[in-house]
Amino acid sequence: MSDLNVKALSREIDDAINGLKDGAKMEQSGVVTKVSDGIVWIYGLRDCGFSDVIAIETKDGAKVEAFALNLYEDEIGAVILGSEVGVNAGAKATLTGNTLEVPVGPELVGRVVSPLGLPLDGLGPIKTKQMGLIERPAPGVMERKSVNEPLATGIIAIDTMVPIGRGQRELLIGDRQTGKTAIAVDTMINQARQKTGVINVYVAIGQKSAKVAALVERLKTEGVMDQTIVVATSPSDAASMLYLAPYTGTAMAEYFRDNKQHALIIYDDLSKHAVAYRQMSLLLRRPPGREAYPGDVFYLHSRLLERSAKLSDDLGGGSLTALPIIETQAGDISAYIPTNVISITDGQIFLETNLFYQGIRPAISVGLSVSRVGGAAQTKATKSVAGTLRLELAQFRELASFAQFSSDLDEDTKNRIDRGRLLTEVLKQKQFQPLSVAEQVIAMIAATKGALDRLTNKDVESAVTRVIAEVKKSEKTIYASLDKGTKPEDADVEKVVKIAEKIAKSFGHDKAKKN
Amino acid sequence: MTSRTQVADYLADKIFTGTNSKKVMNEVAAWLQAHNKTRQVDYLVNDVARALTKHGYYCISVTSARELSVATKKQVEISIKEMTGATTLECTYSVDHELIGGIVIKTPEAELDASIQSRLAKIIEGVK
Repeated sequence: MSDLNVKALSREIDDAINGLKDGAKMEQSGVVTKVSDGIVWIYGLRDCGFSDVIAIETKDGAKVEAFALNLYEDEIGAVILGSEVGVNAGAKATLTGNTLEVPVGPELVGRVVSPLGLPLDGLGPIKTKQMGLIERPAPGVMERKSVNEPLATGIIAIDTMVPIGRGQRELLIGDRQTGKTAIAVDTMINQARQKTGVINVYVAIGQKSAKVAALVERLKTEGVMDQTIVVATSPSDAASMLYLAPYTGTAMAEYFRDNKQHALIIYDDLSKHAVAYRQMSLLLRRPPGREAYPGDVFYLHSRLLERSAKLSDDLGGGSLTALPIIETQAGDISAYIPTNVISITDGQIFLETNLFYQGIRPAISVGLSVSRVGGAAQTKATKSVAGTLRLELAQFRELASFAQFSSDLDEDTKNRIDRGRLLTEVLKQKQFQPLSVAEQVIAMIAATKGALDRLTNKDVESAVTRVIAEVKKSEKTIYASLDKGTKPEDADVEKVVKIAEKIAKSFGHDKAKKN
Repeated sequence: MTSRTQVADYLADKIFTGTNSKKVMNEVAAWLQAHNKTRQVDYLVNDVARALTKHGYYCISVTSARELSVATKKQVEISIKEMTGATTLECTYSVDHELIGGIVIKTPEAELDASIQSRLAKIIEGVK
């Protein structure tokens, strides 16, 4: 204080008056009237818009940010980004002039970040050149193109029966511990193994930190982290963080979509996202609806998933494929959130607990799983072997349950059941072992052409592995052609069948199959 | 339901047109009581001040680290009028040594913080 003299003071005031004339420093201000569970109510800030960022001064002079969600005539309801520690009633609130945005760009690849784009992996700051809006309109009708390129998951049951195309939204739905995340992770791994160039964005919404850490470690081991971004939130994070996470992930993935590249985003899971939004909505005193979710919970997910698209050639032809995950309770897919997301997406892969515990993994329910647009993106090679697979398996499941009550079955029924059992065995696949297109087609040719009919269930897996290895070794041209997705010639099919029959014979089962 | 903003607009109109009768005050008091908003009187007063700005009437508070001279006050008022388009000003001056230097001007809707205290705070925040 003693350093200041009157002249300096006079100069300060003159500066302030000049500042008044410029009007540059005049900013709208408001006052926090209430704080509760991550929600603040603010008086003032009449120019505040929806989703605008508000800076709130804490007791120690630091600033905490919040974003406006409820705009009433008399007050604003805002959600604090992070912890509300230090925010008290009477605190000054100002508009920052920004809406929510996060860093986007290739610099994020290989990193684990928070929903605000801050690094969580201890690898130093992320210096991106661009920022992307968290909330952004989805591409319009004229900006899109029909899904026409396959997104190979490497999972034979999916790629043959419920194929996914680039730009599609395919829901992974099932009870807890049925292998939903495993399918998503295998799909990410396959992108690296097949060198598709697809960038993976994994969004963990309220997932246990240990689970995310293990997943990141696995992705590093598999060499997938080099083309992956992980947006992580844990159950201890504020509801606002869980709410923002999928939008942040989408903003990051959109960068690649809009730059002629292909991206895959996994939302794990949207059930927890809906729960976080319900918490925020109830605290914001929005009226509860069915299952206490707010009225706009459908829009919450529809506006998110609509951003996944295959762009038109004029816009570079990039794509963003979404694999949202929904966890059901006791297999109830008719609950509120599951039905909402089922109706938004372009198909669903339903995983059944019963199948999982019978050892059929991935535990995909053939009857309830569907892909509405992926068929157009399936390779000709896969299409040629997948034709009646769904039908055959569905018939098998029906007959198998019927056959439990009767021992006297006609020959045709017995054959169908045997073929069904064989196909079920072929479609079983271990985790972290995605198959290429050629490997899948060879396995399916061997199974559907009857070459493996004599094998017992336990021998099928090793026989298929040997058939694939043998074709890869002795029929390199066929293998390379299948890997490109070309439809196999009849002669090629014949060669694969002969190899499969030879290998099947080596197992020594000459008579009818015994299980 | 009538909002506090609507009540403030009503009250501001009455004040501006000179019909600030006891009856109007009773009406407002009754509304506050009926809607359990008696603790929001300060906000209502501020809302009225904001509503009055539509009529060119600005209620301004000016805080400085030292007592301002009459000439400086006049200069500040001219600047505020130029900036806001106000026709009438109701200025309240106060002194807060914690500002160290400069001034803080508050209008019903906005604030201009040109104090040394806030500048120092910004510098400290930047250093962090």
